[in-house]
Amino acid sequence: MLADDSCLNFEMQLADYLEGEPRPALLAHARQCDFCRCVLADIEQVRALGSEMLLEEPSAALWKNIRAALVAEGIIRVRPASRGWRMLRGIRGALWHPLPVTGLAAAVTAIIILLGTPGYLVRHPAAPSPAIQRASVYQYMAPGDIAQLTRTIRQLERSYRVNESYLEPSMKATYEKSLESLNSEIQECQNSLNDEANRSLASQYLSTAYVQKAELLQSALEYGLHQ
Amino acid sequence: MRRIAIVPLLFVVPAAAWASGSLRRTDTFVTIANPDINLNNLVGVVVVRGWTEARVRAAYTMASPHIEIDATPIPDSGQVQRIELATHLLDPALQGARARVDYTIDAPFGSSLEIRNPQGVVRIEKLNGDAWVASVGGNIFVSDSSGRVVARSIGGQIQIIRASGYVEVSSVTGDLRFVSPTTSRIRARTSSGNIVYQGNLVPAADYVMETYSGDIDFMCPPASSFELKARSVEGKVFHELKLNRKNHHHSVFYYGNALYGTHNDGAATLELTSFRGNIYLRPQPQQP
Repeated sequence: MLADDSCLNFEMQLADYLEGEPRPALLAHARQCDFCRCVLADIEQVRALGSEMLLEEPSAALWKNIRAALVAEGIIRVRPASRGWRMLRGIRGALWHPLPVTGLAAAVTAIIILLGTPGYLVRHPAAPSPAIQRASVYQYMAPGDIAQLTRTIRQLERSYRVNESYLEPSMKATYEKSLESLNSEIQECQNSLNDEANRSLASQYLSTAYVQKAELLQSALEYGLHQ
Repeated sequence: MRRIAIVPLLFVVPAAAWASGSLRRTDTFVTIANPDINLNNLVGVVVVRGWTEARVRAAYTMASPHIEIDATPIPDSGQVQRIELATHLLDPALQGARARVDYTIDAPFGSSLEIRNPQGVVRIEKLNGDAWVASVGGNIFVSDSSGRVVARSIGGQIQIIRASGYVEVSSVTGDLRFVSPTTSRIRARTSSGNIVYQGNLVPAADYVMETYSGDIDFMCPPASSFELKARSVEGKVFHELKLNRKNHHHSVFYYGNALYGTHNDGAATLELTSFRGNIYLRPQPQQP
């Protein structure tokens, strides 16, 4: 299994092959090269998981988050209930800092994207966590996907900042520390993307960090609104 | 006068109840051999232990009389197939230690668990069913489990001991630790925590472990057999094992430090990745 130009050709043809174009040379090389065969198998696995994700049922927490965002926008009104007064206090806080309507649409879109990436407290029993799968296999996330994910994260982060004061202090400290860690990881990975030698692994870590950050914010919002 | 006498009683009775330990409650449910148990707590320790009996005994210790435990067996008559347990704060202002509830649950070996305990430790022992556990800041310990284990903690550490079923764990800042697993599949990811592995690898096992800035310390017996793919961008790969190195693949040059090799017959597959941390591969210390 010696490295040669055929491995580089494999990488160059990979995107076209994944778009559905016939690339017999790529397949022939994958049959001969262990590493490239693993890469290809992993990408196929991620794609298969991605297609399965669309079939997953949204969690109850998701609808609560969407509802909370709609309430925050004043699009729907909440009837006060005795058991949920703290939750309403959180929503009132959000009303004082209303998100733009366009932001809401983006947030809803974002949450839909996140359906495939289970939050820390949202169970998806059927398959291994896609986030873990992504973390554990060769990462393939198109630039467009990353751009959409970063928009999602910005919306979630804005909602988090609106509601963070309602988090229990020790939980808030945990979230803050973890966010700091992930932000540092994201920043370093972005810097490493300019480094040709480390681009592939940096890209893999970057995508995973984005997904983890989105999950973390989703989890924090669940608690910020429902504690 | 009578009114004056009653008012102090309102305070004395709850205080006496507190002192006498009546903030403990125990429920027992006759169940099938493999019931589902769903538990939602906020703060406190959750312990679930497997036993041979076909019933679930759940004991709760509450820190405040303003906490209620909702225990719902399904179906509500006959052998219970599913139990839903939830901590319910009657006073929403309760936070931290004042909202604490400790759960101790004895359940049939075949029970499957779904546990959310954002601010507390979860400990699971000797279960054959699946376990799904999530926490925000709490540590998670699972031992002698043969079902599938999925554990997530944002800031807590996760420790898996002698697991023989599928294991999937992740944390952001917490450490991950595996001791003597016999499972065929492990997936582990932490951002800034360390990963420690101590034990053998079963034939055909497939282990993937990844950290961003933490170290990976992998210790195995000299007789263990696996194909290794270890790589770190800014860290280094140190090994004290007798590896048969493969020919250098181009990726060795792409990544800062990488090591591909075979240990003994290469019966299992091991992939270790760190971006900034070091990776250590060494023989497992002999047990005293």
